[in-house]
Amino acid sequence: MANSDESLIRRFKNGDEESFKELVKRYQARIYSIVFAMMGDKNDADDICQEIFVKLYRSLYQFRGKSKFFTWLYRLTVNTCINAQNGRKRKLQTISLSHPVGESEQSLVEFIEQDGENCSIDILKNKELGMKINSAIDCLSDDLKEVFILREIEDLSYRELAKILQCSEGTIKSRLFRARDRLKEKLLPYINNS
Amino acid sequence: MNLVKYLIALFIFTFSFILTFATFTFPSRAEDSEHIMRSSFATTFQIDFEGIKEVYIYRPQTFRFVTRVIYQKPDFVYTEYLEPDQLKGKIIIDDGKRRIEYLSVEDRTRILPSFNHPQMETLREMALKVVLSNFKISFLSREEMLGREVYVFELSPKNTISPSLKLWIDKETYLTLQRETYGPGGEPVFFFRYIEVEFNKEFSREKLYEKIPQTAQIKKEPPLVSYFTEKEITEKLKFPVCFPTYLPPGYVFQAGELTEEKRDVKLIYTNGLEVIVLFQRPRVNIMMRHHRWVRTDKMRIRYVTGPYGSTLVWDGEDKTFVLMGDVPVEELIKVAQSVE
Amino acid sequence: MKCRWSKENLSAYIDGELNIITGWIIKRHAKFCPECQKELNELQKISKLSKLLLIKEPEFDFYEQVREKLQQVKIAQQEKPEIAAERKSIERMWTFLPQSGKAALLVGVAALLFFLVIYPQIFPAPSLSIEQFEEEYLRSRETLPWVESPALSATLMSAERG
Ligand SMILES: [Zn+2]
Repeated sequence: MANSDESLIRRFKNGDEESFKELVKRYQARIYSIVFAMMGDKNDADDICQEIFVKLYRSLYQFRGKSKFFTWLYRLTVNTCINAQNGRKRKLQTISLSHPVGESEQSLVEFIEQDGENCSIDILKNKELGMKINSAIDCLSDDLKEVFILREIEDLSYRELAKILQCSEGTIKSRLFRARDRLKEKLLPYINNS
Repeated sequence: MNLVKYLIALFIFTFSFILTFATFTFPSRAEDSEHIMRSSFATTFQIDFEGIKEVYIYRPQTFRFVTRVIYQKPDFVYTEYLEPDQLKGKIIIDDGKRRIEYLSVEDRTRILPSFNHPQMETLREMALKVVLSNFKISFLSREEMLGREVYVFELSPKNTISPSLKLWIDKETYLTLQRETYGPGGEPVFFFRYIEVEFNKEFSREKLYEKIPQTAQIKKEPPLVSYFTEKEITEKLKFPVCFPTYLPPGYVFQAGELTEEKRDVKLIYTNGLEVIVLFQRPRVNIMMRHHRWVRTDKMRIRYVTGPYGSTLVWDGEDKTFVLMGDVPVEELIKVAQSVE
Repeated sequence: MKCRWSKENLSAYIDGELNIITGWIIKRHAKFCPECQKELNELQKISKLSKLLLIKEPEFDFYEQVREKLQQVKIAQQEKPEIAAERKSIERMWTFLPQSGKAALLVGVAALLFFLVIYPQIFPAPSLSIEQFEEEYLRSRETLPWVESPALSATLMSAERG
């Protein structure tokens, strides 16, 4: 029997640390995906994700339950990412043996992961397409990027997106249209022969 | 009558011309190429030599190094970095017993087992055999380099994942004066050439040792390394060893190493130019940053790809495995899956 | 005219965000308009591929990393009076402990240290860092006759730089 977010938060407020663990496990992959896509860098994603959950831990007591918990968490996530982007200069790329050379290959294996049982190494060959999509998303302006990422990863409704990003549903609709239009423009030559 | 004489003279002339030409290009015969290759492997232990060497590594970005190299019969090698600034003054002295690496910038010394000790000779001999079976050796031309005559050879791999090489080998001493390495896709991976050479030079080893500060010359003995065959490893070890049943094209078992507690095993496989290393030890948590995951039906593998190949880490029932090698990561995943 | 309107709404259509009537009009239009149909397919493809690419998994010990960070934050934030109070209570305990108790405690600590030095492997093995394996790998690599030692240097250099 799965606990609802709300009941976990209630238990947490009553001093149950385990319920925080459950919350983290429940949301870590989604938050991580969002942060990774926003930052476009694994190192940053690791640090910022931890930061987000630390923030969550410390502010969960103040959560009043006026809005849905995930709306609140996603807003925290998006804001933290944007702050980090503003405050951070691009770091020099490190290239020790245990550091990946380019982020481009990154997505590929995650690709495999998603494929679950059919995961075959052949998909690694789809490298180029993956790289193209990643870089196209990376090129979007921040306001288009955040709405696109949240929509694709979380399948959130326009109403929920509007709440998280604090704008109107009309704005969400037009931003998504624009984001996809840009992507299509960049990716058209590649998606048709895949 | 005159015409016949003329024809005979012409015949003799052509014949002798072909004969001389043939002797000039003699390395075109396979066994001669092989002989030159074999000699070039061992040559650094048969000459007294000093040279300045320029090295380029192209992955992932270009690094340039300039080193002074001194060889002394039978097993002494001295290397000093002249460039880049971060490494200037780094000195490596290998006297056949131990290898001292002195990093001047940090005033730090590392003592390693010698790369030139007799046991290494067996490994080198083996690497040569593997190279000869993995590569097609063709003689390209004779050229002049640094005022010396050199043979130019090309080594093309018999499989699709190995690099290809071009070698400039000194005719008199068989020292390789220049080498270019290209990846399977034809991209340059590595390049070196000598820009100054001096043969038959006399040195005083003491003078060379003096370049390393006395404080750094610790009397410490290097860790003892012994190499074992697959069978010896299985017998010596305190727990059952796992071997991969799949190896990338061209790779063969080279040797195994054990730590003193006989708990950690290191299996080394080679294609003559590169190694694939499989570590296994009782379950341990290995810290690794920036990795990605591959999930197969049997296991979850963490991995990263860097300038010198890829690293895979995964847990077996009661063991932890680390696999490293400079082959496409798909190949390493296949190796990992075959470990039993 | 209709095409342009249709194209502007395709994005919301694949998100299932149009009202029933608008959705139905788009669906019908796309059925008979190859151009809009093509665009619809492309958008769906992009959306599907992006989903696959964007979804990632954090490291398996992510929660433990968060815990560790929380611990650090907690320690840094802990009010001083509390620590002071704790220390005081420990001191009080120490003074109230009988002589034999003190001796036993000291012997215990000494024994622990002793074992730690003599038999480090008794205690849970600390995590190993991947770097030591890398160094071993490069050592094996460099013993081959045709591998140049700058390999290791390049790695060290870049690690320094990082
Ligand atoms: Zn239309």
